[in-house]
Amino acid sequence: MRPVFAFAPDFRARVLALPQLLRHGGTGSGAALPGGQSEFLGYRSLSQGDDLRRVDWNIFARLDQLHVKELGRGEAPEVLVIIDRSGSMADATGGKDRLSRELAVALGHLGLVGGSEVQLCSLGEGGLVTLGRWRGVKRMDTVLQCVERLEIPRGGTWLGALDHLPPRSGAGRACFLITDALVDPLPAAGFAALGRSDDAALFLLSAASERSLDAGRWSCTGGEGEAPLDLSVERNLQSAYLAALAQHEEAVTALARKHRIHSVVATDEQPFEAAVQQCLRQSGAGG
Amino acid sequence: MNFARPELLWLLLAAALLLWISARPQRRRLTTHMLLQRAMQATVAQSSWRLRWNNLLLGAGLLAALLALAGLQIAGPDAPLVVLVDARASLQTRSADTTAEQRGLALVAQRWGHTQRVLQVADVAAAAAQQLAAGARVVAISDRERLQVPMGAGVVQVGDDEPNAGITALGVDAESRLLVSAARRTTALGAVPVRTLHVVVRAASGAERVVCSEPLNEAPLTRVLALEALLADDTVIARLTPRDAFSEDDAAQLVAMALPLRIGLPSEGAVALQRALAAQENTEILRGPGPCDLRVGDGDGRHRLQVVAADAGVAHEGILGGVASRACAGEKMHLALASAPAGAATLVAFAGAPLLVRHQDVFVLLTDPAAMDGSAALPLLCADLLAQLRPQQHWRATGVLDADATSGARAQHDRVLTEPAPSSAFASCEHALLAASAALLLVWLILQFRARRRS
Repeated sequence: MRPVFAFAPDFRARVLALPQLLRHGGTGSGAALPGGQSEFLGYRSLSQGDDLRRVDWNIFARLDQLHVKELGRGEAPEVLVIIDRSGSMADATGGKDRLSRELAVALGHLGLVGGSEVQLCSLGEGGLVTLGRWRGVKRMDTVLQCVERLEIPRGGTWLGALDHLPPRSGAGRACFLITDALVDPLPAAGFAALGRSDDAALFLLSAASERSLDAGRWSCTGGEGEAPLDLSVERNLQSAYLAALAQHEEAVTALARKHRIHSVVATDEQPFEAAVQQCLRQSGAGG
Repeated sequence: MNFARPELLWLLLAAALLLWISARPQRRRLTTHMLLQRAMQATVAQSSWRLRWNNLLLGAGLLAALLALAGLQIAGPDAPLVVLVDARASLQTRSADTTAEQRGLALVAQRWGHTQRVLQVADVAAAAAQQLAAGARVVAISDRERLQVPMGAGVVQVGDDEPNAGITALGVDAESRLLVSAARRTTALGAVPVRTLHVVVRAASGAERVVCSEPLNEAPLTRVLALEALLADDTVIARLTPRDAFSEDDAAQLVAMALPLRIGLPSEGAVALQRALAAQENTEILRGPGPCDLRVGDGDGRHRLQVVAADAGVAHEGILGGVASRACAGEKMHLALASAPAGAATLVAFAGAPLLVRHQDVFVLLTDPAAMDGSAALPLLCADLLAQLRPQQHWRATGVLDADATSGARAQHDRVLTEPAPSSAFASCEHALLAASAALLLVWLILQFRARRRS
């Protein structure tokens, strides 16, 4: 039977409220939503999630219809969201998978709100697969359904496929990679390709259970195609594991930094809004 | 192996389930396979052995506790073979230079090898039941034709065909006549050889006089002999000659023995006097009324001892003077002495004044004995007093066996009648198992505690 994933009932509302949250909640000075706006492009009808401050009240007075002004820097850059679907993303509690899906939808929605064309790709056994391209804020539900229908992660990691990123459009590209980067060696070439985007961010996910490996019996599914492990974690192994985890995260963020990729370390215990907020704050701080 | 409470063995299933739950890997799944492998490479601590040991300890502890609860008993591989020898005297009958008992023990040793204990018992059936209940293997040795023993006990019957004659009774009747009886056992070997019954009175000086000597032609033989001037120091010896294979019943002695002096004390009080009298040899103290040789105070008795009131008398200082009390003549005391009744003979004096006097069968102690309590004077005074009493004599026979041993029915062959049942002795292991369980679980707990502290 095919595993089923479903977002929480309030997830859609949280995603729709995300732009508002980012504007008011403080993404920091200079922070901008994916795409960014600076130039008047035209009017469109008010839709859910739009900022009321952008409503043109003159149009409303004349036509009795709510329209908002669309602003942009000419053509909005493309937003590329890449979600890792390798087996390691399916942890025991499913928290890592959930967070990755939530981030994908949230980032896609932000791109749509920003007027960008949003491209969603999965990185799994089949390499880099484009799941769809959407434009316009009304396609948010399509994005959400597409992400919700993704199968449970399985198989090996194909981060190397990042080498084959599609060429960016002339308007530029903001690229987001959602992964746990549990691969050895780290895909330096893929990160380099990612770094060639105008704006690139890496969401380095981990499950809370994996960050606080307490003593006891553990089984490891061998999600990366390795043989399953059944072992007893004691103090030595515990400390060695935590050191390896910290070392791994340090190596990933260092590699990302080298290629001008913002990195956000997120666990399934924190809400996706916080990770997005942190990402945009870094992006804003970096210019 | 046996269990006192086998129904509790069902708990083994629960323990096994508990162990399985404890030992199975927890479904705490990780996907950080790569990091785990790195960690395992980084450390050489392969500590799964500790986990296995933990489970082994827990399992062994639980198993030991359960077996103890179920009352595990292990059959003793060398359950003791207890040999019960019938205390019947006829087992001492000699035949071919060995007694029946020795032949029986040799037969047991030859048949079953090791023997842990040999007990001589009068009631073989009861002793066998007791030993069987204690889990021992039991073999009874007896020369009785029919020996009743509990099921499971082995029986070795020893017997002989030796004819026997023996003295079965020896005593003095109320009229000081000597009574002697003899009996004999006739066997298939033929007539009993002619034996002669001799009765001899041996004086204290060693001189003997024969009072009877006649052949034992009839059986049983009983003779009543009128003896003249049988003294207390005399010993009457009855003897059958020549001796036969069972010599224990061929001679008996009759000696005069003094009966203990019975001293009657009042129901309460006279504690000092009681202690001093009880310290004397061959005395028997009675409290309350009853026949006695010496009655302290008023009451029945062959003799009486009167004690004066505590506050009566005139104070004297000096030392005792008596027969036995000479030993403490140097001990100076203060005593209040009452006046001696007229016509009384002084037995013990104190500071020249009479202290213990006698008038016919009445003795009078002229001071309060409590005043002499704690010193050696009072017991010595009592010794002088008791020396005045003549203890009653009675005659006691030694070496007389009952007629059953002498002429009762006996087996005629040595043989194993029944084999002892295999050992059903089960040693209870409950305490050892409980101790082992406690130790194992304690070690397990310590290891768990240490592991938790480390983590």
